[in-house]
Amino acid sequence: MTTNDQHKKSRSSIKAYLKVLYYLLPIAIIIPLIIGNGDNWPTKVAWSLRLLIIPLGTMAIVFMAERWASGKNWSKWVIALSKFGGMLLGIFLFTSFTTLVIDGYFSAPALQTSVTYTVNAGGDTTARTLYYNITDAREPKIDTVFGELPFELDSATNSLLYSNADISADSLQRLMKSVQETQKAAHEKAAESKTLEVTTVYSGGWINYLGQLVLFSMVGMLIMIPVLIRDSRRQERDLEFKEKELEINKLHQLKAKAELETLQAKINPHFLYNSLNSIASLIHTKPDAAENMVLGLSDLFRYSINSQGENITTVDEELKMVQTYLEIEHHRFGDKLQFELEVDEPAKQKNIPRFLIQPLVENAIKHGISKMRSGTLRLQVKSIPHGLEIKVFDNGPDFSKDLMTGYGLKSIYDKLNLLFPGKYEIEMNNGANKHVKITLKDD
Amino acid sequence: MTNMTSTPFRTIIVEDEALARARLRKHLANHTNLITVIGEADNGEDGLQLINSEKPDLIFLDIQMPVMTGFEMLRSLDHMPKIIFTTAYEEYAIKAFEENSVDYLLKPIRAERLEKALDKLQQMAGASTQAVDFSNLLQQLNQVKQAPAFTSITITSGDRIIPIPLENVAFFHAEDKYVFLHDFHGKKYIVDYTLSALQEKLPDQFTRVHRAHIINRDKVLEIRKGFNGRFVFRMINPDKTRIESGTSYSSKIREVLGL
Repeated sequence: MTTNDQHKKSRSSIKAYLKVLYYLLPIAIIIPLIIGNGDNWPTKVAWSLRLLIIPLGTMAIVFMAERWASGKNWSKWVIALSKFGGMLLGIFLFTSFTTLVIDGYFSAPALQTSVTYTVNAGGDTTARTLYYNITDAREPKIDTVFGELPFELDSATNSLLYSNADISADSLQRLMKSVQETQKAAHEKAAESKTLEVTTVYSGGWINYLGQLVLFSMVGMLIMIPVLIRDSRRQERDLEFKEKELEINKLHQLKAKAELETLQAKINPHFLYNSLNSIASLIHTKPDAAENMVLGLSDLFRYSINSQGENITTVDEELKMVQTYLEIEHHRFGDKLQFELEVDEPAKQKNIPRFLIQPLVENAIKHGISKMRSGTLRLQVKSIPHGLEIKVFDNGPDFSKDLMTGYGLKSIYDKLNLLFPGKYEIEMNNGANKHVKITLKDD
Repeated sequence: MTNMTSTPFRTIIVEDEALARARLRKHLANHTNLITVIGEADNGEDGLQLINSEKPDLIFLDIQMPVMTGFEMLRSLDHMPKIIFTTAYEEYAIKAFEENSVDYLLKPIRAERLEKALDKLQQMAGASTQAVDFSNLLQQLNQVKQAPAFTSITITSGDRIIPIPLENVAFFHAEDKYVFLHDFHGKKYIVDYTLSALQEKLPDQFTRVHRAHIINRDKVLEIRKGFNGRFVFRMINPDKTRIESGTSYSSKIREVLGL
């Protein structure tokens, strides 16, 4: 994976993070307000914070786990497992954190609640109406309140030990308030009263904490499992893309190789057979001309076969070959083909790709002169400041302005792209001075 | 060899190279009982006139000729003689020749091969009057000779034409009324085609990925999946241009990418 990918991944993590925050914020505010209707404000705030901190913190750890695992070259299952582990770890850490910090500060630990109840049932255990007095270290306002509590009294000892995991100062208060309202009348009719001490022993701290852990873990899993499934599918697709990209890269390489091979220019087979036919004819009538043509052809083929594998040649060398080519064509076409070569001295020693000029000349004959009853081809090679200019003029029909199909031009581009990348220009001109021009820039 | 016909075939040679004509004439001189060369033409246009006026029994026809190719000439003939094709290279559909002409001769022409063709000519002369089913020949040739693939696109301004090979093209981009060609060196040109026209004419490696974009798949640096089944391409050019596909092109892209 490239660093670019890494950046993208972390950026998408941040995006996901912000997205979750966007949905979470209202939920974290609204849920404690609705569900915790009877809770006091600190409890509501505590739940809001809990609902924000636990998911966000867990997500952060999941992202960290993901980044850590994806750098490891593991299978997608191990990566998924790491993320799952990250989720559980996050929930554990942040539930513990909120329980310790938030509960410690905002919500009274029920352990410190001590309640004194005064029973006024007069020994009637079925009346179940009692007075009670509640003192709480954290909630000093809650003092003597009255009401009925829904538990049986032990008439023998007149005492009970009330122990409830859920009881917090807050919920006890709520419970008692409602009892008080419905049972106030009963209390007023009471004849006698007994007082007994009730101490609520808050043993629910741990259970509460474990309960939260289980709850959040379950919610976490519910969210995490679809995410993991989606991720694994995406990874599969990414892998497919990567393979595709690899394939594309391979294609590029193959193409570059093929391009290099095209530099090994080929003599047009049409030209070869026609030349051989001409030789067969000349042998009987003009043996010297036939001999010249055979020698010319062999020079041309030696140059074309390029046994040294050279891709670059001098203008002088290339022009010698072009001259030979034109002489052979002249044998074939007779006076229908006239040609002129102009080259200045400084241009002669400059380097150009092998077989750069020959296709231009071949095209000028094929598409220009051969379409005419007679034609003149003019080749001009000129050194210009910081470069070289090659022009091939012919008096044939105009260059097409449409999309072009020729391979001669393509082979020229292939060579220049490889050997003079970004340092060449090709243009064609129609009209009175119809020509094709290649400008090469020096290094 | 026995000559079954009482008079020799009145023959015209249509061939652009003087040396090739001379050689053919020399060979045919050995068969004067069968062939009388009544004329020669060095291009299709002259050949057409000569054939229409002289109405020969037989022509030797080179396919690649200036002004008018052998096929173009055949298309406009009023008089249809028997044909022996001469060609240097089997680039044209040999099968079509075999089925629809007397024979075809590959250059350089051998004496024995020519004799064989002449034998065939005599047999056919006995069998039927019309040896060439020309409409059939043309039909077959059109099937075989597919439209050649385009290799370059031209940027024109007046008489000046800059040919850009298609493999240099990274992508085409339509903006307002103009279509721009972006090559992989980072140069930008205005082209005279609409994207729809380009889409039709360009070879296979070009794909329309968006209302305003045609990309060269050979110049794609990377492909990513975007939202809603879109694809995001990064091109091989100095800017690494980012091109997002249009949703309506997704299935086509999926198809050409083989995904």
